[in-house]
Amino acid sequence: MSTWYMKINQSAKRIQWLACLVLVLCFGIMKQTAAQTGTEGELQRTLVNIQVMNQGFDKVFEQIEASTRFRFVYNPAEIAGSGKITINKKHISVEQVLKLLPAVLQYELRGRNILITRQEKASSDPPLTEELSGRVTDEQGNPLPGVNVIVKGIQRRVMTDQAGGFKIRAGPGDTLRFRLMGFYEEELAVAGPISLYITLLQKPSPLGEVVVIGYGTSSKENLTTAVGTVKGEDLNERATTMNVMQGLAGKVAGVSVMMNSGKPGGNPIVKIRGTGSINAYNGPLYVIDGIVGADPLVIDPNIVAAVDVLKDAAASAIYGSRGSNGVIVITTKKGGKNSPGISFRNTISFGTLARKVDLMDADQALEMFKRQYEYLPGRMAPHLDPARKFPRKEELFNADGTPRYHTDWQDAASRLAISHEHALSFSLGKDDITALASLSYKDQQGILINSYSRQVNGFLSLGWDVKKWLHVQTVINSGAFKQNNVDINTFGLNAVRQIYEFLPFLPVKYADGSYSRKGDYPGAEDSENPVRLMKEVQSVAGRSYTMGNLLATFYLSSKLHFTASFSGQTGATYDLYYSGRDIRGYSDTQQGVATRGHGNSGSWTTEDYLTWSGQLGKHRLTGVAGASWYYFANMHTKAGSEGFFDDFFSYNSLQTGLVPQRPESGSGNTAMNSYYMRFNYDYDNRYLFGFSFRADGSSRFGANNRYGYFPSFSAAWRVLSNLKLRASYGIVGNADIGDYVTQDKINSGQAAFGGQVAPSATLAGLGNRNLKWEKAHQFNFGIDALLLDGRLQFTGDIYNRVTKDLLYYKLLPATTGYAGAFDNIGSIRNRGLELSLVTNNIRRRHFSWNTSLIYSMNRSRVLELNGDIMYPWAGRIMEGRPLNEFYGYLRLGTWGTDEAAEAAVYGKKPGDLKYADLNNNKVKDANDRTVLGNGMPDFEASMVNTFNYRNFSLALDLQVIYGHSLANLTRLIMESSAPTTNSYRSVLDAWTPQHQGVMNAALRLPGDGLTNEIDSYNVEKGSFLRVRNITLGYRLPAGWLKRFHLNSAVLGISAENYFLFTKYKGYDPEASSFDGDFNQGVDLYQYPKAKTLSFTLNITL
Amino acid sequence: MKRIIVLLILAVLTSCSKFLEEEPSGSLSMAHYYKTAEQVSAAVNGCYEGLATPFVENIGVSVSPVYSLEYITGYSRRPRPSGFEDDQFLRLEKLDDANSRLQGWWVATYYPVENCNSVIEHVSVTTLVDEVTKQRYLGEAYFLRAWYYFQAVRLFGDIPLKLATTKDLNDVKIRRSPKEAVYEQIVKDLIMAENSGLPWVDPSGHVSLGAVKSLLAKVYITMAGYPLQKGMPYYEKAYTKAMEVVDSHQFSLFEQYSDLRNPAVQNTREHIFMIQRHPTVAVSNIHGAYLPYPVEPVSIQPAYGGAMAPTQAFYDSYANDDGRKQEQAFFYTKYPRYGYPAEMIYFASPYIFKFWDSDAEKTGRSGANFPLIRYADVLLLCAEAKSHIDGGTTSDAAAIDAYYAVHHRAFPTAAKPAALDTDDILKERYWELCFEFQTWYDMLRTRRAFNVESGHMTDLIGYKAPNHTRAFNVNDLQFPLPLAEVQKNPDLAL
Repeated sequence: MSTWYMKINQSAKRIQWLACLVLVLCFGIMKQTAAQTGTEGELQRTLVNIQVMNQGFDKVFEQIEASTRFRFVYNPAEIAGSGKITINKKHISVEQVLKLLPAVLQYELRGRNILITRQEKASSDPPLTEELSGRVTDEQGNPLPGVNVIVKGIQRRVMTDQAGGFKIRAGPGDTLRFRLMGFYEEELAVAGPISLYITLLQKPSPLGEVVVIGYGTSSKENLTTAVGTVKGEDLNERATTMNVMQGLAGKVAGVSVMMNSGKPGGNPIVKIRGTGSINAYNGPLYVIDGIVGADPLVIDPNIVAAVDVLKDAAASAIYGSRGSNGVIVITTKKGGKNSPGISFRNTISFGTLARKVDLMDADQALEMFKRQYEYLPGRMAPHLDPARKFPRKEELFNADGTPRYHTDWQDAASRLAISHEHALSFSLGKDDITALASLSYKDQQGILINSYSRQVNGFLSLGWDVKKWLHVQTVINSGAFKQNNVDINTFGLNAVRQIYEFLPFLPVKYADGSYSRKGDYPGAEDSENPVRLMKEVQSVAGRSYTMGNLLATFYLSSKLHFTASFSGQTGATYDLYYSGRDIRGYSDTQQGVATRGHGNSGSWTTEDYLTWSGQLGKHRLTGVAGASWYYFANMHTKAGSEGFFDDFFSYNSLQTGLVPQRPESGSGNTAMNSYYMRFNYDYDNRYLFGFSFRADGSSRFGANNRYGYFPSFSAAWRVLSNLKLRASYGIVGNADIGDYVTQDKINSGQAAFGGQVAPSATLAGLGNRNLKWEKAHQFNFGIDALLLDGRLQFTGDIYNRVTKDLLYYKLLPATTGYAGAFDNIGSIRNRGLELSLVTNNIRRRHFSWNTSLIYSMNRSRVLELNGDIMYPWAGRIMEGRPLNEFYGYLRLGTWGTDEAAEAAVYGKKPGDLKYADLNNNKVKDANDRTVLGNGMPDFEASMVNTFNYRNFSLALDLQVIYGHSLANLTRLIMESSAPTTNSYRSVLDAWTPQHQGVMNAALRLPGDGLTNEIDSYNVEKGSFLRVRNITLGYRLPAGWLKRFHLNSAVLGISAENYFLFTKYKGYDPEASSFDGDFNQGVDLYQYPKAKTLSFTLNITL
Repeated sequence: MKRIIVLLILAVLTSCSKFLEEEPSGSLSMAHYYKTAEQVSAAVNGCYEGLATPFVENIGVSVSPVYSLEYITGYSRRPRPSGFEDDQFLRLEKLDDANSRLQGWWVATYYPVENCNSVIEHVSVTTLVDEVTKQRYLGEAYFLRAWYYFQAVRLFGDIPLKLATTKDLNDVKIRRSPKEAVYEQIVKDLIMAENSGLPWVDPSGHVSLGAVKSLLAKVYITMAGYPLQKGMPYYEKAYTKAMEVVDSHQFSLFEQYSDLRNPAVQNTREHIFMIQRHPTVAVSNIHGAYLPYPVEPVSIQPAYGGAMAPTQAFYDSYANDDGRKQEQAFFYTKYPRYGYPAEMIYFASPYIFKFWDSDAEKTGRSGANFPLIRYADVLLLCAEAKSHIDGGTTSDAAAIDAYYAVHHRAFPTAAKPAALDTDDILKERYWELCFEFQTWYDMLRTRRAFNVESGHMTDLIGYKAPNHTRAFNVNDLQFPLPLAEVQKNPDLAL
């Protein structure tokens, strides 16, 4: 007996789907259970009201469907030819209605599906046909019940049973047609008396999707909670995606992925539904293939099958302990019988500086210095003063003071960045084994000289049906990562900062080959030039990692199985730094500085759980219960030395340096232990309920409160088959604070006495044995709707999340001897709205146009915070106010000549900055500060339009962030009234007696008195529209590919970040120079972003 | 098979009770502390850390809270502007209670006090060290606690007096004590220290008996003056204490001013008590902060200095033949460009050379100690106390000798005066102790100011100092309570 494997050409068969069968299945196929007994009686018991006036029977079916759980399966063409009917009856049983059908129409009950067939009594079977048998499964090999199997032409039909099996009379020459809602239709010519094995490919229909919900899966239509799903291929839509987080940007409503830096390998900040914590970690929990708390950076997006974002508390509560900021579940690809054997993805991309900031050129910079000196009479700028001698004056300036060099440092320090990426994967599905092996390499160059990020990653996934009752799945992922940072030392004179600040009348190198320094112009702040810093200061960071998981599923009975998994992660990091003997401000005083830090970490997790599912009549119950243990340990060492006689050694020979730095080391560990359970119950496929409960213990908390308890409830009501209302409430925890914070801490260090070093110890922290879990209470209400025959798919959610008992570093009065201590104080509310809409605007044979639109808004408010007021960078956090507020003085402009007397009250002169005296006490004091903006937007939205025409596809990805502000500290520092560096061109729009009423104070030297602080002038609106990506793809013709034994080949070209519309004056309005949770929008010399042109070639064979 | 599974399930559901207990390995906790003699010694050493806290650099180049003490005198300027917080002191604007320098002083008082309290509590009952060592440890802790309270009570007036460690983080509210009570405690602590068996001098830089008695003299003379105005008995006490230091003959003035910054003689002779520094472990930022700005570098440290320089008027108040005014004594006006010894850089106005670190000039790392109590201070204090006792003018030989020792070093040809009035002595303090963060305290306790233009002492109230935009008034004599502290502990404002 032979078995046929069918490969499905999706697009070719899609057209035939227009044929007549309208199959409405209200549930995932698996859920269409075997309880036929009971439904027969239900047919008699269920009463309906029918009102049909001389219409087709399909109207009758519609009305029954509208008010009952029964669904009709029929061929509209057959029904249309079967006459009309008039009924007006109330409280009539469904069975009675069915009996009204003409004799030619037969009905058959399959579950709750009523199959209507037309059978001519006189039909006679062709003598040659025999009974064929077969089985229909999905891609994963799961049996598909309820599939219509039709002999083409004669409309003989059967339905597959629970095991996906069918028997039908057909013979050679006949063509069988397989139809099931949610799957691509399939046809098969019968070749002989054989057994058929058919695989149907699932349609990318949203409600049929399977989503991972933690210790199990659910169909999307069966979901009672708010979960957003992104498929692997969508994750890789943008060619420059380096990691899963970058891929998620703009894909899920309510998930904010801020790409805050243009740095290669720069990690975006991911937040789900706003910021809920103050001092505990605010990022989501990542779960990779069941490994809770895994590091998402170690996963190559190419091997990701899907990412599910568990947004509401009921979804994330099963990960109760650490899910308070949402959970991102990453599922890797598995080998499969239908997946291509070999696939090869290649990308090469070319990045250039996307945008320039408006800095002064050489003449303008000199004009600025001239005016600074001339602020007071009798002074002359060094380049104009013939009496002033300084080295290189003649090389830099002509006799009249005009510059001889003109350098655009933004050009000089940036480059065409060429990056490439290759991913090769092999997949297999044979007998009882599926396997997938993948190897990928990425080399991403930064647009700033010498910055790069490289990663190599290997992945192996194996699945094996060892026995009928035992399935084993294992994953190993391992790789290494390396990057060179040029933006180290943010607060100092770092290379990126020097791009902005270096004087444009200085050359990169002088004629004698030496690099210029900023201090070559007298009075300018001294520093090395950015080109030299990028080329000569090395700061290489890297890591290697391995993650493995072994999972065994025991099928104890058809209803009960047990899953045991063990997983581990190890990682090694290094951080190497060398700055040479002659680098001003970095290492010249020390004659070279070398440091190296090394760290190791390891963790293991074991998860064991039982899953039970069963059904009784209309009641169906699924339950999961289990336990987990987690242990994490890390250690690190850092050493360094200074005083090198040669730069040759770099960071490779610390012993060569004459002066050792103090070595550092540390270690820590964390343990967790959890017990969890979840029950999902549904009645009649219409009323869905979920309940979960988790108890978590963490070593981080005081002995008195180690365990926290996290329940959740959810419910959904399927009002119609294509309209579902959801509501959920749950409590989720957060333990993400440092290790050992519940314990007192004593700092040990070194003190000097008489030039000798002695041990010293000081009190550093006050423990809190009562510290307990931070808890987020979240209510969610959502709607899922599928309208216009599935052409319009809508999901909307509103939520209210209140995080209570914050793990808050309570500020203590200094009289206690401590700055603060961790305590469970305060609450923060986040509420918001998320909408997502996917529409199929045009569906033609050769042309389609789809649009995906997501919108999310979040509003935060600090409800309670012990009365504390905190001032993070440029901001303020206090009760009754939103988070991420910028706070400072209101700049009105400059004092005019006619306001001299009023200015004097404030100790100012005409030409000085004028601030609003909000409390009108004639003194500028802290009470004159006010809210200047918010780093978080009013809303974020993205829209992706995809066009397909024959073999071409075009995608246009737009991103909007609206209403946020940025604290442009770069500008604050540079555009002062007394710059000692280059500055923005607008600094020249400064006050002069002839040019009053401007925002910038009169230019002067630093010693002449200046005001420079965070004010309304430096807090800028950041709203923008970005054409994030335009991709054009071309699928090579299949016939042509066959000659090369290729299955498919797709060529793509994409343009990322080519258009940005904003008024923001820095490089990019999606920025933060810090990773902290309240520094979104704080821009301090950001690494500029690239615009990238990429070419991709994806081949499968 | 099912049995195995059941066993497995049972196994995983059985938790081991120790699994969640955490045991830090990288840092000590209270439970492990004060358990060995070495730990006790380290804790005592930790009490000194707060001495340097006011010098810790803030965000900003060469910005530390400590400079506020010189800015507010009006005799100094800040060549490198740092913004409105320092400007409030520099220009004598209204001090905003949100000014972070105030918070800096508060923290520099109470964090170290907590360490002292902890040592006093634990060492008092320890049996880990012998009795002699124990008493000396306690003496160090009492002295340092007195030091920190003396600093705060002079700046803020009535302040919380906290003499026990914090045990409960919910019981953190504390009210201020009247300054009298604070001074009483300071005296009490210093007397404990005085009787703890400390040696007269300690070349390692730990607290010595000389330091204790000197500080006690300073406390007494402060109590005699403003704001307590305890008057004569306390001038007597101050004089007696200062004379004990003088008569001990353990201390003497350096012959040349360059020895004030000579690493070979630190913690000896004139240096009674110093902040202990080290070029790698405890780096001093004074050398870098006092560099001239903005000029080409005169030290390997890039020209990031500019924290403080004398106003021209103060510099000019020195007589031209005053040894302290000579180039590279207390000040300098030119220096060779770093790396170009032949190229002299001339500054537009004088800068402070008093604490120049010639090692740091080449290495960029300063391990130079900074003086907290100098013998010259004690000598002048002794003379000043006596002049008060004697009704404003003294002809007491000991007092005159004390004064003359300091004055004679500056003017080697000057004759010993037969009588001295208080103003002469006070003026000498301005010149001798300038930019050592003493002057403001002198101005507070005497309510007198040195009118640099006229060369005479004058009432502080009503005097407009060279760098100020207005004259002092009575509200300037006490720092406001830091706003953030009042927000955290509203009882502070009661």
